[in-house]
Amino acid sequence: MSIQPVSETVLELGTEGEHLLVEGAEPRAYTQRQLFRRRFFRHRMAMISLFALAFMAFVCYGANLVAPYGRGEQDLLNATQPPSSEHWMGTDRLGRDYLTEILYAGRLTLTIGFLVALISTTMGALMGAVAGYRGGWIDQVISRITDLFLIVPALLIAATLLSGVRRNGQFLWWDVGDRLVFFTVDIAFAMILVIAFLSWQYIVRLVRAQVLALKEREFVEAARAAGASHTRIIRRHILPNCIGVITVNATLTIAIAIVTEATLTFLGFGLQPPNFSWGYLIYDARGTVGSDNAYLLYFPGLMLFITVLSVNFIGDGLRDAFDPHGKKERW
Amino acid sequence: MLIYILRRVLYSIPLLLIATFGVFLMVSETFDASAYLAQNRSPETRAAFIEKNNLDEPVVNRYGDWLVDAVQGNFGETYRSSEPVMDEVRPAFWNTIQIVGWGILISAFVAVSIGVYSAVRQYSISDYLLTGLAFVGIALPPFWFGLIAYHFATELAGWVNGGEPVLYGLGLHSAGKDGLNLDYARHLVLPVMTLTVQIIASWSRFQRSSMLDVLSSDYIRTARAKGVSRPKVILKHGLRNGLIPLVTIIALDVGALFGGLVVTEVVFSIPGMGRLFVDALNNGEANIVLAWLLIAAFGIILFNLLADIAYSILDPRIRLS
Amino acid sequence: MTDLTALPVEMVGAGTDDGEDAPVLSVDNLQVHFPTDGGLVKAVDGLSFTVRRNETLGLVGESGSGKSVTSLAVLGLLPKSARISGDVRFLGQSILGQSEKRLRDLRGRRIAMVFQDALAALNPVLTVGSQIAEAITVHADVDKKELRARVFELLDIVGIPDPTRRYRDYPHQYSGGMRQRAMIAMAIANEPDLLIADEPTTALDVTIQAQVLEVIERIQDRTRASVLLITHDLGVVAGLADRVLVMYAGRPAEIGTVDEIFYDPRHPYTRGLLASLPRSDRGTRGERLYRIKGQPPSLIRVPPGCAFHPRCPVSSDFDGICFRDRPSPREITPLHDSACHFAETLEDRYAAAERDERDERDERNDYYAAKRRRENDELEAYQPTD
Repeated sequence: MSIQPVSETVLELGTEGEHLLVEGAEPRAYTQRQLFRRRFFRHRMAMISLFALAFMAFVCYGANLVAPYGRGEQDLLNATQPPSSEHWMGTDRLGRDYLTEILYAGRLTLTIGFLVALISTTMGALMGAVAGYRGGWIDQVISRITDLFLIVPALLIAATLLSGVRRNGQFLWWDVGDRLVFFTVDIAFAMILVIAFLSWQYIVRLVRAQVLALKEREFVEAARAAGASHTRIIRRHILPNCIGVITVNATLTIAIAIVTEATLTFLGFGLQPPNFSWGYLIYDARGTVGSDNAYLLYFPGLMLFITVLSVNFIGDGLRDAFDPHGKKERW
Repeated sequence: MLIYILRRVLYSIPLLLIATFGVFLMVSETFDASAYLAQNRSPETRAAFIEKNNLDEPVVNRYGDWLVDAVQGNFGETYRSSEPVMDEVRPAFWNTIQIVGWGILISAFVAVSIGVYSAVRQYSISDYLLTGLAFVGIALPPFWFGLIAYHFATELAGWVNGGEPVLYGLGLHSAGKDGLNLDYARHLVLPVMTLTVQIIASWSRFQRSSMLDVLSSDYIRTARAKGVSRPKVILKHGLRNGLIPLVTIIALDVGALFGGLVVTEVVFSIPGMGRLFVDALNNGEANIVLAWLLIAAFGIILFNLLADIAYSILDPRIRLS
Repeated sequence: MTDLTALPVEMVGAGTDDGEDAPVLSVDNLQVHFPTDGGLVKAVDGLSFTVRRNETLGLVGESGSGKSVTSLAVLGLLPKSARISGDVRFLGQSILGQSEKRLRDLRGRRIAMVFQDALAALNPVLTVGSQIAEAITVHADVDKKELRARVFELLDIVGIPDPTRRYRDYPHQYSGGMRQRAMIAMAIANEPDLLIADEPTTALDVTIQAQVLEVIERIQDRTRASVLLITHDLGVVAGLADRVLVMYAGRPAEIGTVDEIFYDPRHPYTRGLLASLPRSDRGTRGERLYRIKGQPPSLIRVPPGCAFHPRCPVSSDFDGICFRDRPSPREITPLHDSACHFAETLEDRYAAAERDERDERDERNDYYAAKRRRENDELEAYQPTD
């Protein structure tokens, strides 16, 4: 290309406001999506974690393909053996291959995590958006309720609610005169509902704050001046800008939900056989502290730890990718 | 400033009432009938039970009665043994306070130190190390950490002390011992560590971020331009501003602290409120659960109030507007 | 660049009536580079100037021209990643790269700085009084009573009334102008030899601006301090400065006395700045405000040759000298230098450019007029003649 008059090609690249004086070359412009992807991929730990998590999900959900032994296959002669070449994670009390048990147990743990995040994020984002956008008394009501939930000790409330389910398999009751009607729920389902019920306050707050800030921005004013309806404004201007906050928070909620489920199960208010989760395996192995069988304790906890760590890194990577103005941590 | 405090207190009271009412509602829905009525289907026992516990009155009335009693310190009687709930709660409360007290103090101190250090030495090896540790700490499920730590302490005992445990993992004092001594400390280490590891990890990250913001602001530059020495700039100018956001975070995390102490007490068999709570839930002791939740709600709201006050002390912009 | 320190005393600028010829501040070929992801940012690229006793040097330029970076370099307050070279001398002593201890000794005591946004530059959780007091106590042991008295005196000098109350107040309780004056009080607490004012009036209303500038002037009269006044506002410079240094893209464009710069600018950038000032005395109402076309260049890829040439209305054609050679400052008068290849004959060049433009315009108008006439003729030929 021949040399163009230099004054014409001053460009703004990306959202960091980088100015480039280009002499003759064609300007390279990136779309928002490409920029996002570039930034995310630069975050090494997030990438590693993404693979780790994907691998974890694959081996757990695909346990029937991957596990070395069948589920629940007992081998009482080889009970409680420490890890060996045949049983990479040893065997449990009933001689079942621990690795297999862990893989299958992972399904419920991960599922609970994802579902809780999905439910609480959806509900929370909606409530937050409505509160932020409409303002007025709806905002007041939602904000007060959110404040209330932010203050309560979540674990205790969850434990209380779930203890009801655990004790008798019942959750709620109605007195319809001469009988008592009991509303029975499956414990895993109850756990998902309860934990989700105690997780949405954070996302409500974040989304509400984001919507409030966006509402005042010029492009929303411009859209309104051009006659756009509320729904249109929400759909095309507000929601897309909230995606960052929502996604990051959803990711972190997965981690919190997984740990909460494990903790509740450990305290005795969560899953019990035939529903296994990593939390349950730890609960079951809690007596092995100080003994030689402590490996029964390590492995499920290690799985929890790795999963949560990965999710956290991914969330961190997402946060960096969505917010170009933040301080860049180079991992 | 007094007006500010008064306003906050006034705001807290309805909050407390609503919270306790919600709690009462929840407990009454999931407890009374399920635990006892389901098992005793015969109409006479049911009637007697309902009569005794006024279960046929509307919830609001029951709530009112309970609240009036509670404020006077009467939390009713246990279902099992018909003993006053307060007798069980008092000693347990004292045990719990010790753990929580140490926990908060140590957490705050360590987290702030780590946060400031990391921020000042940003991008250094120690910063990366501490950040990595923080990520690990946040990801560690506290109950699992507690078990592992306990396990290692026992293993350690085998090598170091010839079988005698170095750090204890059961209760707060060895049999027959009491008071503030080495034995006490040895009992405290594991539980406090378990309680605080996640909190320290999370707070130190936050403090680091907050300090980084503060240290890059203009008034820090002004202080340096005046010739103030670096340590003084960091502590006098930086930290005073950098602590303010942490106060808010601490207030928000109190609820999590309650959950954490339950776990800690269960893992280390400490006879505190947490274990009492778990036992009560398992045995269907509604009154104990109610007592505990009331104390917890009150504690949290009180803590938030204290945090607000601290906030207004630290930040004159809040105080004087 | 002409080394002003080598000239005989009588040719040097204002305020040297006591015969002292050593400049308070002398900067020689200062370079400040920042390595970034996108490349090396040359924030300051070869800057040299001096400031003499009791003199005010105005440092003028757009955002990103390197003015603030220069002042921070003098005080040693740049981030560690900055690569600084050149020579900076304060009262004859080289201070670039000195130990932190030595610099701290100078800061706030011999060289003081007033920053732009006083609300951000004052610690929000400490009282203003204590912050001013700190400026004193950092460098000397003073007992409490005397300290308080001194702070009251400073508040009085900068014109802040009711010192008893104002001492205890916090920055957010002050008005904008008062805050800026408090910053000045903090800076002059130890009667520094050099006062660096970085955009002291930018965040203020015009009327308040005048007050603040007046304070600076009064202080200078009192203490015979030198002032390095950094601003992008030529109006501010006109009122207060003795000499002016115009910067562009981290490089010096022109330096001279106030009169020389305003009435005989010899650099196209300076001319552009002056032309874009709305002037009520020039009878140009109804005309558009003049704007220098284009935008300031990236400091990573500064244009080759003269940094300003892409935006210059009288630059040489492609491949000309403006593109090939970076102009070094050449002397117009002993105090007036300009970094432009055509500095000596600038007026003529502008006249010629104007003529060319007029000719071009006339030519174009003629062409279109002729075109229209032809079209009208053709149109008429097709009209039905009923």
